[in-house]
Amino acid sequence: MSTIKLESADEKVFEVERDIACMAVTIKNMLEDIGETDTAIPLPNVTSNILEKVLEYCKHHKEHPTPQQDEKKDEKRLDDIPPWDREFCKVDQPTLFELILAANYLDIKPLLDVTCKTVANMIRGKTPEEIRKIFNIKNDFTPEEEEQIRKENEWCEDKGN
Amino acid sequence: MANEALLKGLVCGGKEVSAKQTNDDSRAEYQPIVPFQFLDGEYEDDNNNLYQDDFYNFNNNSSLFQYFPLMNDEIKMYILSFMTLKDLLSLSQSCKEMRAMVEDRLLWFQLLNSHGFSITDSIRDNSSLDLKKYFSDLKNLTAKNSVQWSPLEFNGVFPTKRYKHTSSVYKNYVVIIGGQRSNSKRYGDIYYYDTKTNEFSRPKIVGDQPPRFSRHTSQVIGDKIYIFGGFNGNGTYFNLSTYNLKLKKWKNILETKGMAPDPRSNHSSAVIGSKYYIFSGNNTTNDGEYKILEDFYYLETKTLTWHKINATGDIPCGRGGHTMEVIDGKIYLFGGGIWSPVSDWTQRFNDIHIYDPETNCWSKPSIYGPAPNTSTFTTSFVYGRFLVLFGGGCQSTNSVCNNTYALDTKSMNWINMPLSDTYTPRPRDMATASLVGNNLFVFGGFSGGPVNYFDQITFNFTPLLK
Repeated sequence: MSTIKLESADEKVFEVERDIACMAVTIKNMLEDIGETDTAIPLPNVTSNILEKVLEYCKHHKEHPTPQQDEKKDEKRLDDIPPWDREFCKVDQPTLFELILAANYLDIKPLLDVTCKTVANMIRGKTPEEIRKIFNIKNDFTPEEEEQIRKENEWCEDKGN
Repeated sequence: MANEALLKGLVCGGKEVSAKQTNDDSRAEYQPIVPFQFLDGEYEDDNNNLYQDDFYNFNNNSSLFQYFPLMNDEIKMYILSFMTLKDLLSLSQSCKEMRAMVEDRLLWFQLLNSHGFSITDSIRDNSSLDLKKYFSDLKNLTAKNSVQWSPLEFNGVFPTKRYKHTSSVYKNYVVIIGGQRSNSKRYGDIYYYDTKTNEFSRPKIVGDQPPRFSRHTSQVIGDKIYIFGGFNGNGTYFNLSTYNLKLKKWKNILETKGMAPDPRSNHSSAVIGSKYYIFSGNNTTNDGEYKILEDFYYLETKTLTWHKINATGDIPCGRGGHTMEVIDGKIYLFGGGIWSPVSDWTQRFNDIHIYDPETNCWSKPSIYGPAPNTSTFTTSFVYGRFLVLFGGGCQSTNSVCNNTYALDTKSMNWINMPLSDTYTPRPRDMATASLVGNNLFVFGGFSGGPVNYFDQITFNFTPLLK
C-alpha cells in the first residue's frame, strides 16, 4: 500500500495512505501534477492538530464508505448528518472554524458539507436576536428597518421545511 | 493587536506560512470548492464585530459559533445554502450584511438546485421574480403534508357508479351531469353536492329532458352551465345544451349562429370570458366510420355564435381523452391519445400545448422535470399557477394510475407531488375534480369498472406567486 507524506504548517510530517490523502481533491491534483515523490507535500494553511482531525475524517470515510444515495437530490436536508460525522463535529469553536477552512482549502466536499451543516443547524428555529448571539453578529439596523424587514418576511409560515 | 494575532494564529497555526513552496506552479491550479481567501486585512475592518466580551473564552458550547463573521463571503454563502427558508428569513433580520446575502439570487438558485428543482431559463432570466416565495411555493407543493387526501363522509342521495360524467362548480355546489356505467348504460341525471353540508341531492329539473349521455363537456358561465357534445352509446352524438342553475332548467339549444362544429365525444373544453372553446375529439360518420376530428372552435355564449378557429403555431394533432385548463388567460392542453375501435390506443401523449387567444397561436413550450406517466382521461384542475393532474391512463402501460403531477406554469417544470401517508387515493381515470376554495372534490371514474369513489383533497398551502 503506497503512502505519501504531508507536512503541516507547523512542520509536522504525516505519513498517510495515498488513497486516504487523495480524498482531498487538492492533494489528489497535486500528486497528479508532480507524480511519485518522497518529498513531503507542504500544506501551509493547515496546522497539525487540524490535519490530524481531517485525516481521521478521511480515514473513517475510506473505511466506512457512505452508501450511494439514489437519485434523490435532496441531499441538503439538515437532519441528514450521519451519527459518526455528527460526533466528529462536536468540537470547540476554533476547531470547527479551522476544519471548515481546511475542508475548503483541501477540497473535501463531504467534510465541508457536514461542518457547514453543523453551523447551519445552530440557528435552526432561532429568532434574529438569538442568531446574533450565536453568530456574534452586531445589529446594524435601526428599529424602523428591523420592523420593516420583519413585516416583509411575515408571509413565511412555519411548515417545518 | 490581539485580534490580528488571533486571526494569524488560526490560519497558520501560530507560524508564518512555510517557505517550502517547491511546487508553486501546480499550486496555482488548486480549485477549492469555495474560492479560498486568506484571512488578511480585509477582515480587520470587521473586527468590531467581535464585540462580545466572552469572545476569547473559547468554550465547548456547541450552540455558539462566534467565528461566523470571520468566514469569507463564499463560505458564509455555502453555510446559508444548508439553512431552511424560515431560518434564512430570520437570519436576514439579524444585520445588513446577512440581509444582503439572503437577498442574493445565486443563493436561491443554489437552494433550488440542491432541493431538486431545476432552474429553467424563464426563472433565471426573470430578475423581478421573488425567488424566496418561488422556493417556498415549490417546497410547500412537494412537502409530505402539502396535500391531504381523505375519503368524504356525506349524506343524502349518492350518485351511482359512473365515469365520463362532468362536474361543475356553482357557488358552494358541485353539479354532476350524466356519465356512463357501461357502454350501453348512460345517465341523464343531475346531482348536486353541497360542500357546506356534505349533502348530495338530486333536485327536480325543469325544461327539456337531459339526454342519457357521457363524454360531453360542461362549463359554467354566469348562472348557466353550457354543455356540448357527448354520446348515448348507440349512434347519437349531442349538440349544445344549457342548464340554468338558478331555475334548474335544462334547454337543448336547437339554433346557434355561425358555423357549428360536428357533434362529438371525448373532446375537451375551456372557458375564457364568455367564450367556450372546444378542441378535437371524435365522432362516427353516417357510414359508421370512427373519426378523429382535428378542429378547434369557440362559442361566443353571449350571442350563441360558433366560430371555427384557424390558429397558427404548433397546433396539437387531433386526439381524444385530452384535458384543457385555463391559466392566466391561456389554454393549457395536456395529453390524450389516438384511439380507434380496431387498433385501440395507437398513440398516447403526455405533451403540453398552450393556446394564446391574444395571438391566436398554439405553442409547444420546452417542459422540464420528469414527464408525467399519465396520458389519457386524466383528471385535471388548476391550483393557483399550477396545472395539476391526477390519475389517468398511464402512457407506458394500459393501467390507470393514482399519480399526481403539477406543472408550474412559471418555470414550465413538472413536479411529482408526493402522496400523503395517511390515505392513498385509489387509481382511476375518467374522474372529475372540482375545486371549491382550498378543497378539491374528486368523484367517480373508471378502475377496471365504473366507480363511485368520492375523495376530498385539501391543500394546506396557497401559492404565494401568481
